[in-house]
Amino acid sequence: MENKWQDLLKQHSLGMGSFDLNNENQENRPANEWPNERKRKSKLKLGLIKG
Amino acid sequence: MVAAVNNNNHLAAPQEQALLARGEELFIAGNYNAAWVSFNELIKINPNEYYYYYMRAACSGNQGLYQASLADLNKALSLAKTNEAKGFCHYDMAIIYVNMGDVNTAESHLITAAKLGNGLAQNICNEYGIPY
Repeated sequence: MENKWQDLLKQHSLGMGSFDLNNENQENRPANEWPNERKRKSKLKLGLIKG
Repeated sequence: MVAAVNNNNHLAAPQEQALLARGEELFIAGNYNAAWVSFNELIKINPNEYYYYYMRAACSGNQGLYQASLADLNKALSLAKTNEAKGFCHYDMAIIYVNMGDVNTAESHLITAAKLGNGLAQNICNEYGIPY
């Protein structure tokens, strides 16, 4: 088990946090199921940036 | 005056929006070098927006340029106004430090991110018994 969390972090891409802004899918997600790159949502697509 | 784009209360100028859309599209496509250029331009337009430094850091870091990424993350952290934004920065710092082999610093940033409410960091801490 030692170093498992480090191995997990190494699999994560930088910048992904900003694409899951409200943490809606994080609460019940086992840590090893993240990341799913295709589930990324940009701020623009979430409608958080207005014209 | 160009406005920040950090949350619902801020409006970005059309040029800034278009550049941001381009940068995010490139980033999501994994074209980090081209995305870096977009976020670099956005920083020139609006040097006070934490998100642009955060994303430029992600572009650098995802290409293995960890020192450049850390410099931008520290700048982003200095500009971030919410715990959510600060949590993103600390979480990414944890990723960088673990990739650099500095486990203690990585764990410190992971715990800080978890304390700030970052769900990803909390999941990892909970799963691996790291108190925060």
